[in-house]
Amino acid sequence: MFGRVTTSDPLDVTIAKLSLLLSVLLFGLRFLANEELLVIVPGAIALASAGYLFVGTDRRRAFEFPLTTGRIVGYLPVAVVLVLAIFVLRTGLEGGRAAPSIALYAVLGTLILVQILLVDEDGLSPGVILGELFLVAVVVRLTTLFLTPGFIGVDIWTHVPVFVDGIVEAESLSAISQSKYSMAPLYHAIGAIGTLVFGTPRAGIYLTVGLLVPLAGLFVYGTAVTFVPARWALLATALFVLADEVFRWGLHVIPTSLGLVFFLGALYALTKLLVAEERWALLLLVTASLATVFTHQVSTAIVLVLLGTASIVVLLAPIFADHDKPSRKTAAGVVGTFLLTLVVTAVSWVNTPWYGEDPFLWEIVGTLQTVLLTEAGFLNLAGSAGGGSGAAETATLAGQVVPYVEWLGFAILLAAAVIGGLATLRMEAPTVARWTYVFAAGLLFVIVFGFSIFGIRAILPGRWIGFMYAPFAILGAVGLSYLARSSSRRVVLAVFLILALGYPGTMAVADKATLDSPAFPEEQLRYAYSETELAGVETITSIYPATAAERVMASDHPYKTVYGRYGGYTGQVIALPETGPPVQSPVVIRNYQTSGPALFETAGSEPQVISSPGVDPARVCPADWNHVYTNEEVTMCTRPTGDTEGSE
Amino acid sequence: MSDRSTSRMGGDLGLLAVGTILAGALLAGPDIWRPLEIVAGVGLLVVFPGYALVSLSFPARPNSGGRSQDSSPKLTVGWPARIGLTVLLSGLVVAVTALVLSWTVGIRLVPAVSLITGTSLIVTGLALVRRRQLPPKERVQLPPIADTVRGIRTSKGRPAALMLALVVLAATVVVVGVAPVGGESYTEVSLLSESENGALVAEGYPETVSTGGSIPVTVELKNHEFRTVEYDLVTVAEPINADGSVGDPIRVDTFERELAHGEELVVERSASVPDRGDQVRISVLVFEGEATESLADPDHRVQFLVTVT
Repeated sequence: MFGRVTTSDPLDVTIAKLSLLLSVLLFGLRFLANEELLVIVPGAIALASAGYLFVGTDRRRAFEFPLTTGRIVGYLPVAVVLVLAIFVLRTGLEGGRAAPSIALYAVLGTLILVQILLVDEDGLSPGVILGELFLVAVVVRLTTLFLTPGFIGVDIWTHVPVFVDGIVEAESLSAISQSKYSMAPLYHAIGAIGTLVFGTPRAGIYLTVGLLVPLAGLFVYGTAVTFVPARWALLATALFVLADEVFRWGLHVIPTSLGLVFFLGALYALTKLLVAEERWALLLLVTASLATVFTHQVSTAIVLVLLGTASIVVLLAPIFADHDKPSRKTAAGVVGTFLLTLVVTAVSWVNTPWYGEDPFLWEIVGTLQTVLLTEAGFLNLAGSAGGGSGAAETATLAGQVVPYVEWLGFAILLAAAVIGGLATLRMEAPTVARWTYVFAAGLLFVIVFGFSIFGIRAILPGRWIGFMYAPFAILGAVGLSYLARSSSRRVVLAVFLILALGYPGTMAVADKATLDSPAFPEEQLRYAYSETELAGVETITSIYPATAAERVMASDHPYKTVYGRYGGYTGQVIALPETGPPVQSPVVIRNYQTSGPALFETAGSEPQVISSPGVDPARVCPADWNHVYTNEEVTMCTRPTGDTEGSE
Repeated sequence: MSDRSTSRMGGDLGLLAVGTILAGALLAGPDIWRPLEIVAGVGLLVVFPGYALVSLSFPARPNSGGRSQDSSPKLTVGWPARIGLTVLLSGLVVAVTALVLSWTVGIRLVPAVSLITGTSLIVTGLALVRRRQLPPKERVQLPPIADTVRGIRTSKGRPAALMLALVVLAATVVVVGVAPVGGESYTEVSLLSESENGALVAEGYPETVSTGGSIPVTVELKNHEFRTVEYDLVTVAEPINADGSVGDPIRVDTFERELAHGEELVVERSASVPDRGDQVRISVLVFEGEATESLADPDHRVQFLVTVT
């Protein structure tokens, strides 16, 4: 399908030149704002565009894959399985992932990419490599989940111990009827049945949704193989499964994770519909789209962007597609699915309660209106799109280098996707499918990063990245297959080696892939807790019960979120005035505040983030306060009753 | 099993039916061995209902590479997508089951397992009927293990070494999964007082004490050290000076308690407060083992402040 090239069409070259120009202009913004993405994004686009122009047209060179069938190649799958066994053992001995486990995960990724990118046709066994990839994906995720105490992430502390457990106790979904999941209960419904079967809410979610997430990556293979041969479909799948933001939703298993599963199903069905016009795909597309609506709101917005893009493309197809217009049935199916999903979404959101008096739909429209009219501003970049270390700004060299290391994997994927997007314009797949991919990937990219430049983050752009990686990975595989056909052997070999050695490692150490155990513990926040810290939560919530929701419990971010979500308190970040103790009481301090980049904030109307290691613990929990609970890592302090400073 | 025999017998569907019945029976019955519960649970919630639906929807064998090689209207998808669809549809079946139960008899174990099992079996039966309507050569079948091994061999893979590695991996997973978890060792110390309803809580401590008087001191200890620990607890009174500094501690009570791992204990004592200033800090110093003479470096400390009147 990717075979022949229409060299008369210069559109790809024109766009590549424009992309190069745009990336130079974007890079200029670097001098106006200190944001690493303003280097990474223009750099990746410029490199890809220049590379595409340099490579020129498809010269049908046959890249000779250097690893020929032989002893080493035959043992690569064995090596993957053995390294995976060492990963499990090492993680088990450590009681959770630590630096060696993360390094082993990166090695696993490299071993798999080496097989995909360097082994010759005779030695390539797609079934075996696919098996390795998903064995690694499932075992690494489940090992990490089950060996990390408690839960990984923030929101899951509400979804599982409160909502899912509440449903099981009430034997009814009425337990979430007052939440925004009253009309989107699929995740919690699965979790409730899982809890009944496996005995605990934690196992109930991990062994159901936690398994669906990595296995849904198979849809990427099924989708990509529609466009490219098996080797490149394997590459697309590996690029996706190994990506940090995809791994993230396998660790922090929340409705977004299930939304990603349905999104991948919808993308697969849409592709089958557009490329092969297979009728059953329409039913699957409708099913997956509506399932997303009844699972998660942000995921629904992403599916609507995908369907909306596809609808516009098929509606405009009669204008720009000469010979391969989609059939009326296909066009009607795509547009109809989009409209149906849109209507069901609107009805669902109108009936979804939100924090204010108005339903979710009006609240979210109001929020977006407010953001667009009052808060949006050019280069309003604080708290940008979702990558980066997430900690308070740091002036250390490591603090400045780490974000670039974290974004390197993304840069590689972006560059490959840009080349793929340009190459897509030349390929002989159905026009509507090609343009749907190009526009959908572009639109998702603009929403994630473009809106962030203007400070529009009400749509939670960080959550879109993992979804965006699906079309990116497929386009990336298209791009690299094009490169393999069009470039000199040396260039291709260099690119493949960079990809095989650089991509898994940088994705493995990114903050979103290491929520449980940061690879750079002084720069990245840990979103999981030790057994001792969790024992502190359990005991404190029992000896100082949250009798009312407005009862405050202050600690660092993210530890305070556990008290807020699981403990039922109003969890607050410890706020420190210029001098003296925190304004809140009680406060909970922990050893991590001196070793990791946990966050406090300044007291006042416009609080600023403070990195906790710079604050003396004796100031947060003063000697003249009551210290009412302690273990090896956690201490709870309260202001003595007679001391009226601050507010409780 | 040969291609033809598998197609004729619907071997995968037979296995599916047996697996579904077994899993349903095991999960709906009394408690079972945990690993078996996990296998049965994952099968019933993540694999069986979805596989049955996929088998019903796509009775024909997938084309190689998942790409349509002809224009025949056969309903077929490649194996990777079949597996993806299997887990996606299983998730949907489980979710819909919960919705139905929530509206009817309530979300409980036996109705849930029964409904999923029943649905899977019915769909499996329909899938078998639909598959038999196709010529045997066109029927879908599980990719035989022999084919996979052959694929590895033809690609100069090392099937024996790979199988051995998989056994090592499985053994590692089992060992890590069933090995007793050492866990972190810690001791928890709480300073409590009795609330109006009689509960022991970490608030409402005595605020004042008359000169020379005594006040209740209630401490809760939890041993999670994975060993028996003899705790020395020393209550000291420390005057708070006018400049906010803390004066020398005066030992007012000493006691010891031995706790085994997992044991917890509430100790209710009283402490006489010496006449040393307006405000005194009552601290309970907890030593794991014998207290030091100087009372320096206790393993744990809890404290509260009282005003001496």
